[in-house]
This record gives sequence, C-alpha cells and structure tokens, in this order.
Amino acid sequence: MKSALSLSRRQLLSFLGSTFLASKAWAFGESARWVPAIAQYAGRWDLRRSALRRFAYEVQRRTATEVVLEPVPIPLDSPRLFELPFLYWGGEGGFSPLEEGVRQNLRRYLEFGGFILADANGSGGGFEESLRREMSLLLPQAPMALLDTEHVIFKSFYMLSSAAGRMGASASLEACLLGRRAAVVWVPHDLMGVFARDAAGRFEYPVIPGGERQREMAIRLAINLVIYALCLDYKDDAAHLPALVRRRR
Amino acid sequence: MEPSALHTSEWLSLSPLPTWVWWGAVLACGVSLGAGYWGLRRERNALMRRLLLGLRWAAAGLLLLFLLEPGQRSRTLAHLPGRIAVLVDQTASMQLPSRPGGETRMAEAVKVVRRLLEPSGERPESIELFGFGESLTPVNLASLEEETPKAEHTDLLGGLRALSQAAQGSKPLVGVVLVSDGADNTRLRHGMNAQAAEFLKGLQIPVSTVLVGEENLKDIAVERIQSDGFAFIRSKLQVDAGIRVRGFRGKKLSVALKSEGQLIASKEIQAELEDEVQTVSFEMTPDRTGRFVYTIAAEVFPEEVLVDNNERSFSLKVIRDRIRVLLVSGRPSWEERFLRGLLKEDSNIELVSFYILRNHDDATEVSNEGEEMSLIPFPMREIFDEQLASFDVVIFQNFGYTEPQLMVSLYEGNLERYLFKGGAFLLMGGDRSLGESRQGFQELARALPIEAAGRAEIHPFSPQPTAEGLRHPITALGKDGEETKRLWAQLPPLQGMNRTRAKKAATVLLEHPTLSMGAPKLPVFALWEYGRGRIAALMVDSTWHWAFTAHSTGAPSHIYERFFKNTLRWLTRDPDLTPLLIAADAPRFSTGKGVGASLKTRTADYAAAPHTRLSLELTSLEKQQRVQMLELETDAEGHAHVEFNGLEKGAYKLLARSLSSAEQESQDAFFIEPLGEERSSARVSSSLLKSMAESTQGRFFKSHAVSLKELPLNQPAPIEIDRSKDEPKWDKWYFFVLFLVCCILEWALRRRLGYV
Repeated sequence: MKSALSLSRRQLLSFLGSTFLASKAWAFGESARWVPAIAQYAGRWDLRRSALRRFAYEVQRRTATEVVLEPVPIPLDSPRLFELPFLYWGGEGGFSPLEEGVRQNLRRYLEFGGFILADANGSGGGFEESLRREMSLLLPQAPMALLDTEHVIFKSFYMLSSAAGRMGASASLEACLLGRRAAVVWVPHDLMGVFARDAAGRFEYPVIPGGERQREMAIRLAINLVIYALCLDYKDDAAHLPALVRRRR
Repeated sequence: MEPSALHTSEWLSLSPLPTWVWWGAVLACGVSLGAGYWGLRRERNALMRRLLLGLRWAAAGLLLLFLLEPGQRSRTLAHLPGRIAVLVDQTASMQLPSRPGGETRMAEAVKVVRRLLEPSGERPESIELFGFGESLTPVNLASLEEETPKAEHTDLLGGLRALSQAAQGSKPLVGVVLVSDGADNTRLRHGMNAQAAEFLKGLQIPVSTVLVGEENLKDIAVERIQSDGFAFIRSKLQVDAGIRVRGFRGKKLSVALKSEGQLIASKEIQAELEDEVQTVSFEMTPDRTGRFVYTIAAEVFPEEVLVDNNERSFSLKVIRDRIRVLLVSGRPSWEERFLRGLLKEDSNIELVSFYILRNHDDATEVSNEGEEMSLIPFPMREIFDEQLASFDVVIFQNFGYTEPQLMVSLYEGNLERYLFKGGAFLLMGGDRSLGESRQGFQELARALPIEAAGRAEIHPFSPQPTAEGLRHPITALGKDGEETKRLWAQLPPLQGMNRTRAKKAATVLLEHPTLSMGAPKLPVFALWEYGRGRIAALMVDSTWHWAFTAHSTGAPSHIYERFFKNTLRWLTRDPDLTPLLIAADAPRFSTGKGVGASLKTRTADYAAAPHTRLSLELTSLEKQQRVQMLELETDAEGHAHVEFNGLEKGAYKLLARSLSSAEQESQDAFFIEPLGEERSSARVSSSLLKSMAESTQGRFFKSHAVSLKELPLNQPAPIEIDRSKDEPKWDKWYFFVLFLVCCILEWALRRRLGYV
C-alpha cells in the first residue's frame, strides 16, 4: 500500500491530469460533481481554503466521485448557495450574529437538501460558541445531537471507529438532524487542517496526538462525510447491512 | 255493534264568580263567626249562646251555598271500538318458502291476514293493514297477494316506530299484530335487547306477533364475507367467510374459494350445533393487478330449503403495495443524491440501490479493503439474473460501460427480455452514459426509445415540452398548455445533455429549445412501449437543480417530485394512465338491474382519442363462456358507455380492446348477486317475536293459531255520546226563607238579650 502521506510522482501526475481533464470535462457532468464550497462570512472564514483543494483532490483520487477541485467561496446570503449543496463552514474565533435574511437563506438551504460541514480551524477560540448560537437559531427544531459510530457516516465509505481531526479524535460527532438526515455535521478537531500543505507540498500542521495514522483517519472521515452528503444513508440499505455488521465484528 | 251507553252524573259549582270572590266570602263568614264568638263570650246562658252561634253558622253556610251555586251534571258516555293495526313483513325473505317445498312465507302471511279480516262478530274493533319494509305503507289484501315482497332490510322496531308516529285515526289504536318471519337483520339482528324492550314498553299498546315460516329448516348459507375490497399484489391476503349451517348437526361439508371458475382452495368443516355460524378462512396471494371476482361456495345438500345462498361472490381490487425500484448509479453525484432522497421519502416505494463508489484505479489507501472499507461487490448476477423480475422499475442513472468488472453485457439479454415481457426502465444520462460511455449498449439498445448521436451538448439550456409533452400525464404539469409551458420555463436551466436521436416510434415529451439533429430538436425526455414494457430516457444529469436550486428564491416548487413520480406511475402502468380504460359502474349489481360500464380512450400521447373503434367482450367467469361480444365507437371526447341487461347471477369479466392497436386493452370484473342479505338466509326467529309480544303484554301466535278473539287489546277511553245536562240545586225558595229566618231570629234574640 502506498502511503497517503507522501505525494508520489504518479499521484502528482494524476492530480495534474485530473485537474486538466476536469477543466476539459466540465462541459457536461460538472453540475453533478461535488464542489468544495466554502462559507464566506464576517469572520476568519478562509483559513483552510487551500486545504479544501487538497481535500477535493483526495475525494477524486480515492472515490468514484467526480469533483471540482477549486474551492468556491460563497457568501451565506447568496442565491448561488443553492447551486452548491455541500458547504464547508470553518473558522477560528467568534463571529457576529448573522442577519435574519442570511439565516432565512441558510435555513431554506438546509431544509431543501443542503449539507454543512462545520469545522473548528486551529484552536477554535469562540468559533464553536458562535456556530452553536447560529445553529440553534437556524434549526431550533433540530438541536445538535450526538452521532455515535453506529451512524452511517462512520461507514459510508471507510469503516471508522472514531471521528478524528488534526487536534484530536472523539468517539462521536455532533449533528443537526432533519428527519433522519444529518444536515449540519460539527467536527471540533480541525478536520480540514489535516489536508493543508505548504508551498513545497509538505503537510503544514502536525496532527496531535496520533500523528500520521490519525491524519489518515481524519482524511477518511472527511471522505466519508462527502460520500454521506452525496449518498445519504445508502450504506444502511438492507443489501449492505449483513456484510457491514460482519466487518464490525 | 252498537256501543253500550253509560250514564254518569257529578256535582259541580255552577257559579260564574271568580275564585277570589269565593275566598272573600269564606273570609267574611269566618270573621262573622269570630265576631259572634267574641260577642257572646260573657253570655252565661249556654243554651242561648249555642242557639245564637248556631243561627249564625246556618246563615253563613247558606250564604256560601248561594255564592257557590252547586248543581248536578248528568252525562251519557260510551266505549267506542278502537282499531287494530296489522303489520305485514314485506321484506325479501318473505319470498322464501315457509317449509321445504311449501308455499312462500308471504302466502302464509296472507292467510293470516285473511283470517283476521273475516267478519266474525267477535270483536268490534276495525282492522287496518300495513306493509313494512323500507317504509310503512297502507296495503290491502289484494296488494299483499299480488306484490312481490322485496325490501332489503327487516327492521321490526322501525315498522312499529313508524306506526306510532303515524297520524292518529278517529279511532284509538288498541292493538298491533305483527306478521313476520322474525328474520330481523337490523337492530334486532342479535335478538331483543334492553333498549328495544324499553321502546316497546313505551308504546303502551299490546303488540301481538304472528310467526310465518317454519323453524328448524335445513339450510347452508354463506352468510358473510370479510375482505377489505382491495389487496396488494404478491402479498398474502386472508378472506374470512361466515358459513351458516342450520339443521345439519354432525354433517361434514366442503367450502371452496373460486375465481374465474377455477378452484383456488377448499376446506372442510363439520357442523357441531343445530344452528351455528362457522368462520372459514382462506389465504391467497394475488399475482396480478386489476379487479377480480372471487366466489365462496359451500356444498349443496338436497334437503336444503334454499340453495341460492350456498355461494356468495366478492370483488377484490389488487393494487401494487409498493413499487420496487432498482436504482443503479454510475458514481456518487448530486443527481443520484436528490433522486434517492425522493424515492426514499415515498413510503410506496421500496428502493434497492447500488452505486459505484470506487473505480478499480482509485487509490483508497487501505491495506485490507475487506476490513477497512464498507464496499461490497456489485452483485451483478443476483440483481440482473435472479432478482430482476421482482423489480417494477429499473433505473440506470449515469451507468454505462466504464469499468471492466461492471460490464452488464452478460445481462443485457436478461434486461431486454424483462422489458419486453412487461418490465419498466428509466435511463438517466450523464458523463458515463449513452454517447459518453466507452461502449454502447447492444441488446438493451433495442429496447431504448433513443439512440446515442455523438458527444454531449455542453451548454446550459431550459428544456421545453413538445406538443405531446403538453398533454402527456408525465409532463403536463399545469392546468392547460400555457401554464405547463410557464412551469417548465421557470425551472433552473439544465447543465448540458447527452446528444441522442429519438427512434421513430418514440414519443418525445421534452426537447432542447434550439438544438436539433436534422428537423426534430434534440430529445431531452423520450419514452415508448417495448413489447409489454415501458421505457423512458432522460438525457441529462442535472435535474437535481429542479429539486434544490429551484428553492433559492423561496418559492416552493414541486415540479421535480411531480415529474419523477409521474414518470414512475407511467412506467408502472398506473391504471389511471392507460390509453384505454374500461370500468364497470360498480363492482356488484343485483339481478334484474342493468349493468353499466364506461370506456375512455386516449392516444399514446394522452390526447382524447375520438371515434376510436373498440371491441368489448363480456365473459361469464363461472361458465368460462363468452356472453356478449360487441363493437362500439367512442364519441368525440373519447368516451363511451354500454349497458347490459338480463344477465344472470354470477361473475363476469369485461375485456375492451382497441381495434386499431392490438396492444391496447383494458379489463374489469363485476358480479351479479341475486341474494341480498334478506334472501341469503332462511332464518326464522320465533324467539324474537315471542320476546316482542312479552315486552308489550301482547301475545305470540303461530300462523295457524292466530285468533282475533284472543288478541290482547287496550280498553279505549270512554267518550261522550250525548249532551250533558246541568241542574242547579241551590235556587230553592226554602233556602231563602231559612236564611231570612236565621238572620231575623238571631237579630231578635240578640235584641232581647241586650246585645243589640
């Protein structure tokens, strides 16, 4: 098995190739592709912008999902939000309350099928409180609930037993559930930080406390979240359950 | 007979004075007597005191006599003869024989009435005849003899209630005679109850009951059938039949469930009591959708008084419980995600899905795929060979030949045959499908309404409905063509499409607004029928914008949901969406009444098909024999209505076929039942009639023993038959003289004794 931690020549060529092909193939099928949209708001929203590009590449490289590699910043009040069903909302430090019009846009976005991956970049520092405040106002009917490892997110592509990030790991995730669908998933461990690389292609941040194994688990969690956004509870279908239960044992 | 006179007299006051005058007079007399006592309290001569007080008492009494003016009223009274109401049961059960091989119960009832009407001189009461069934109506002997009793419900209490509420005659009602078989099938179905007894007591009239028909008749009847009227295809269904067995204690008999003349199941029961209802349960699993007639038939024995009630039919509409959909998706995408969301939300859809989550050259970075990944092999053989027939609809979403291990070429033949035999298929485009695929379909391509025509069109566009699309039930989403066009135009644009060419027999419902391959514009959504199957092709992979992007303005739009649900309804041949539709006016008819059926024809693109020539075949399912065959033509609206008369009891199938298209046919089923509840049971209930008589102080008779003389009747209240005469008893001269004497004598004595 090749390590995911080093970028081989083959992978680099593949990366460049897929980028080239993607731009060429955008003509038809782009719309059905997964686009790493990033929430633009009055706060430190773009700390992991480049990491998202690497994240999109990993999704493309590891799964059958076709992606658009370039992250798309999108203001939260923009009607264009409804062209991007997956939204990454990261940040560090608190942010001021959203305007009611923005909240209405986001509420509609989530209720009609949008998905938000909320991630505390760096140490968080007030971001979590601000995000929880907004979520409680956006979806008062769906307070954050714990998702343990039985949830389909932990088996949507990789079989996972924890929710890892750059700053740690936990046995569960938190999410706002609309019906049975997790519309907002909150990761407190700087998930996107594991993808960030510097100009020389080296990982930008260390992963603590678990090192590179934890990085790989965090990458897998991020991939699972994308597959969950795209396939919902597919892996809970009766056709998959017996095999997956066997593997859990 | 002359009523006997009765002379009576009574005392009464003839005074015209108001009451207060009397009380004034009584008060005045009291004061006068009190004053008398007071004045004489010192009188020592007791004799004189008593004499004076006596005179005053006498004068006061006489004064009150004059004011009261007492008199005597003489009257002549008589008890006039009342009337007796005779209520004759006119429900259909009275058509049944009163005994095996004997006359009908109604004939026996007529004899009872005739006996009651015979002039005997025994009773002075007059007799009024009523018939009761759905209502209470006056009848006469001739009408009872001539008219066939046919009311469908025996409601003994209802008949009596109607009688009590009817206008009172000049003569008082002194008694009621109820002539019936006692086979009540409404409120007294299970015998007398406290509420009914209370009502009967409240009538305050003796109700005598006369039983017609013999008890202990031998009969077997299918008394009731419990079925929901509809069932789900391929799901077990239980039908319970209540079999009444009367007079066959210890006997074994078979009960069969049949459909269209074919035996489906049979069971044996044994009668344990003289009169009982046994429940026989059948289980069956319908394997076709549509309306079907089933019959429960109990064995017939020669000693039965009635054999028509040994079988009973019921109609069952078999529907799809859940549409079983197989969704195969070439890769995770928003198109697949929103379609999955839609299909999973619908409780009428059972979704089985397989997505290609990983290509063989994807680098998953795992050392043990079986342990670390949740992927399972795509069970090609199981899905496309073993299980294929179990799916109502197969959807390929952006699924084509991209992976060597996912080549469905081995199973294309299976898919094509599945479709030809009646399956349904929705092909959805994408960058792995049609012209974008590495390799096109071979055998399956024959079944598709389109063929690939080069590389994809890449620019965004808004599809527009074709003329056929404006009236087809899938795409005609507005009230009219204009609204449909407007609804489609307001949707977010689609992001490119697979370039295809529609085959000649295909119907294109949505097309590209400008691009064309020759004359017709590029098809966006096309469909056709292949063999008995239905196939639709949607050449885009961005309809999810209709589900999600369309909500950006906040205006709710359900076009995405309606479009796909309509597509599934069409693919699964929802009966409401077939081009030819026949429906009997009702699933059940009664003998002697006409049977109507309506036909509706539409063209393949769902416009009304005017003046369509059709053949219509009516088949008796029990005899497996064609009863009638006719040809007809629909009107300008594509409608027709036919009526059949004189059909015998039994189950029938209607099969309509278009004479212009052999593929178009529609069928329905109905049954004709001679027996309503009234004639389905030979039950005679003496116990009910006895209880009713007892509750009202009446008397129960068997028909041969009825006697007018023995009827308990109320005594009618006497009425005055001559003018009354008042004779004053106070206006006598000696009362005046006595009054004067009392007054004068008291005055004289008082004067002598010094009180004046």
